[in-house]
Amino acid sequence: MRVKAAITVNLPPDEVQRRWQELRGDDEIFGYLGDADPSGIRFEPAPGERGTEIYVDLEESTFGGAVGEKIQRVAGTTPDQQADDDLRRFKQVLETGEVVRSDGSPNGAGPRQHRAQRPAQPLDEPVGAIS
Amino acid sequence: MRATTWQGKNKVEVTDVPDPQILNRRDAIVQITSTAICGSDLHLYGGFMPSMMEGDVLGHEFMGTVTDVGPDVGNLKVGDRVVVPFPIACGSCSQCQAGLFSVCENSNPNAGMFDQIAGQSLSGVFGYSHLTGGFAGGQAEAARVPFADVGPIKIDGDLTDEQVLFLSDILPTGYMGAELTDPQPGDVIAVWGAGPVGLFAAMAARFLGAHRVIVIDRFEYRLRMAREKVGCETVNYEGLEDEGLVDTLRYMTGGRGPDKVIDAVGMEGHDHHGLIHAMERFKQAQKMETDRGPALRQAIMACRPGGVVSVIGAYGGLMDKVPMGAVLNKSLTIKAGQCHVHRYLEPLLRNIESGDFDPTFVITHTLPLDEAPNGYEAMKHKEDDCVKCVLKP
Repeated sequence: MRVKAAITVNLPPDEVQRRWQELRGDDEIFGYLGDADPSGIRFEPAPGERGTEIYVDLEESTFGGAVGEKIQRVAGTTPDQQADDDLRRFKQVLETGEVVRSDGSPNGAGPRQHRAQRPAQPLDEPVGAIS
Repeated sequence: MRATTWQGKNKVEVTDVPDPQILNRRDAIVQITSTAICGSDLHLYGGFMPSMMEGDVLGHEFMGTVTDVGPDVGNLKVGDRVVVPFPIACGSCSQCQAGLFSVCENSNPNAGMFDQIAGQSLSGVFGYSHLTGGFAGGQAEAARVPFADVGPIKIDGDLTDEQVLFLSDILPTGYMGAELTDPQPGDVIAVWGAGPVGLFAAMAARFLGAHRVIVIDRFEYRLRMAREKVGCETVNYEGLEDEGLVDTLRYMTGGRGPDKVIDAVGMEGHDHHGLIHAMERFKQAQKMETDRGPALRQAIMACRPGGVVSVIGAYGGLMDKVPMGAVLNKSLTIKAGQCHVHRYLEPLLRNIESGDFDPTFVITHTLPLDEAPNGYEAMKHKEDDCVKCVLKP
């Protein structure tokens, strides 16, 4: 299958590309694109001084073919859904400093969180990620 | 701590939940001194908004005292008194930098869910379903406030909670509804809905220079408030006999129709025509339509050619039978948005300090937090002439 995803980050292309190289091994941000072939990822200046457009365009063979793809889609783990979430978290880290967490999605944006939401009430266990 | 939690359709309970904690470096924890039930909370209460979970803490209008700050919050300190805007916004994406805080690109961790119903996402919102991020709300003793270096406004001086609490949502929302119409001298502006947002929109329309403001509702006690507290003309559409609302408004405006119209009703509007209302209730129940649309339809039909339709009432998804022919053929402009609260905080606080606006007039009920379920019932069923209910944790 063809995996396509795109996002715009409000920083100049050289900085975005440098941070991508720096952070691609960070599994808090990247669940899928960290290992992607660099030829499938393109960085372009966004018009109107809006920073950098990141384009993902990858060819991916799905285990189980069309049926496997359907199963992944229901589970929220198709490569394109994962690519979307990776891009969102990368943008959050560059623009806001970290992955944004909520009570319902304490691990941040991600397809699995969408299907396994916690109630929107404070967590009962300490998270301890903040120093 | 104690918190108002959603427990299913038409059921909220004040229960014990864990205390909030800092999850991100730019968070603050606020001990809440005053919070309010919003008309849009009734959409959650009534089960009209998808993606609610049992146990979700409700509430997006709140203020209080800072009790803890994350390491990257430089502008607030423990003890500061703050009002918190209902949209959560990062301040650094290009939408925030353009002042469009309610479409912040970073603050909703569940933006991927919202994309599927709207193409792109709303910002994160406190206590307003998992589509808007799954953030615990503020009808509670305390709340975690993300991006606390961007959102909350500090309140110094001796203004009461009641004077400033509505900076969190309904005062800026009403104000933006009026501002979107760009009121000009000579304008006649009609406002659908005499709830708190509609009343504030009417107040702002007058303040911004509209010549006449006409408020439309079916509850006489609310229309009385529009006349006596805001100085507007009113129409009770249930009191109209043969001629409909659109004709009535046309007659009231020399045959032109109102120059600008504001929809401050949203997805649970009532249609005077019983059959259409029954059909839309049925379609909502069958999930064939999420939004009932009588107010917006009437507003579009009533607006004079070349006029502006401002939509600030809360809609969630899809509405049937929008008269696009009228929009096109009358050259109407539609403007809409969840309020970009952050950009109105400073100027509206100054309006309150100077006495231009006294938003306290909408408060009809003040209850202890533990009585939140009674507050929801009073607001939903308009019991005891309820307009706005404030809760005290």
